[in-house]
Amino acid sequence: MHIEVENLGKKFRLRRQQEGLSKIFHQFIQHRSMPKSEDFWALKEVNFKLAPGDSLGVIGVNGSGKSTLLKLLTGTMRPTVGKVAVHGRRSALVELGAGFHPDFSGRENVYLNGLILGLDKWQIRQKFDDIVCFAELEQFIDTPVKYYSSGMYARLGFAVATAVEPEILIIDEILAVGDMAFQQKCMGRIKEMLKEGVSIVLVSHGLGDLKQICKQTLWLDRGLPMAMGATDKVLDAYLSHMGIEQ
Amino acid sequence: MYKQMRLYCNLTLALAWRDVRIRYQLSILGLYWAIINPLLMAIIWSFVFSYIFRAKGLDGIPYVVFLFCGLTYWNLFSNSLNSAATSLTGNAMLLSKVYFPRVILPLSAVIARSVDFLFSVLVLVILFWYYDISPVLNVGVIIPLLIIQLIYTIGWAFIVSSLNVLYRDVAQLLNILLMFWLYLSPIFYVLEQVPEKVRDFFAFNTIGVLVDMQRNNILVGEPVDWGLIIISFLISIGVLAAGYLVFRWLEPLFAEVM
Repeated sequence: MHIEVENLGKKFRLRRQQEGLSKIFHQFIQHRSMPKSEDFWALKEVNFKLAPGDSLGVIGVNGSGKSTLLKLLTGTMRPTVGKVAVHGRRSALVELGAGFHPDFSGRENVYLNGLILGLDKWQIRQKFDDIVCFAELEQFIDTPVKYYSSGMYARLGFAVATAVEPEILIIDEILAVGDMAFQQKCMGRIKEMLKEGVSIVLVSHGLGDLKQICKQTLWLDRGLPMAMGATDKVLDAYLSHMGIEQ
Repeated sequence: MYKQMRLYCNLTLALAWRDVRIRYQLSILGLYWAIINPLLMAIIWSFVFSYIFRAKGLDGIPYVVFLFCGLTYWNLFSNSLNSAATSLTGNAMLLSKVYFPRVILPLSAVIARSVDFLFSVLVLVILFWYYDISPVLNVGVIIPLLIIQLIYTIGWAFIVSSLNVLYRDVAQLLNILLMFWLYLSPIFYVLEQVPEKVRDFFAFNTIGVLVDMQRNNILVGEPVDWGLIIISFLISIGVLAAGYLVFRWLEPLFAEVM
């Protein structure tokens, strides 16, 4: 199993407007008590397993806990309860190119990002041409990325994140970047990776993307799993649920 | 396991190198700033302190050399902490990507500042040559003391970097505290000038003691007090351990508040 998630839950403390010391102090003076903070479960009782080559879609309205789930899967956040076990190299397509430093050239950013995603220098050197070629940035690779368009940024980000040969790929709503041709190319790359046995978790509002990529889909609502199963069925249930609510 | 360690080492160095380049690449004078900056500070301070306040350094050593030598070591400490304080908050974007040990960021900040230190040492060498001073190069003392100083610095770097994630005031406060700390350390003066009543308290200022020992040993070959070195070493290890624990304790909160 590449990913095992058991009874996963994440609790946040609702912080009111950066509870600065001065604010706490004022409240303390006014109410003679420390300000209370409320607890909020962003995610609760989520269970799933993902074998190599499997793909899971995650769907839900805004604030249903999708991003929290992704952060728990990438390991940048730790669960409050339950277990997340991820075996293998992870790569995340989250806010593409967000880790790039604007003053550095595309070349330098590729190296640094590769290192962060867990590659060796020589491994990056080997893949460098492929990355640049995929991003279609041969002409601009030595230009500081602050001069890139947002599309170029995203293309390079996608190229690096998928070139590191991840075993698990975590995608957050990024297939909307770039032009049609590049979206097609991304989709092709992702399908290729699935065939090679990469496990994919995809968060998307694009039902078409989910249908194309994911065998299974998890529907989250206010942090709780509403349904999980074959993508078509879950999407139908999701849509009819939305219809009833309207 | 070994591969993982090497990977993290590479990442630390790459981030440190990036820090160095960010600081200097975009300015016209580039890396020269690492030399110009401390030199200008030493010149203005030595004018004020030796001509106006008539402060005394070490016998036979021009005040500007005395001051610059102390500042070289002090700056390694204070610049490292200033860089480390914003090392996590300034790299929030990197933290959102994938997991890597977060201690890498303050560590790389300290390493980046060690590059500045080397440049500062270069200026020191030029000053030695200009004033025709022959420093005492007691490697068996200087190197262990520098290592102790780095251990001490990294410990504090862990503390300020992780606290600054929770409270952004820490970086501001640190600036002021470091200024107090500088004046309360034997950088502008030697310990003998401190009134005896309070001199004992100065022994608690580990970084002050370390800078004092390193400078006096290099400039005039003042014999070192090995007892004091061992105490400083133990304190530094303590600070490092405490810093690491604080960092690990606060680490789960990083993703939530950033």
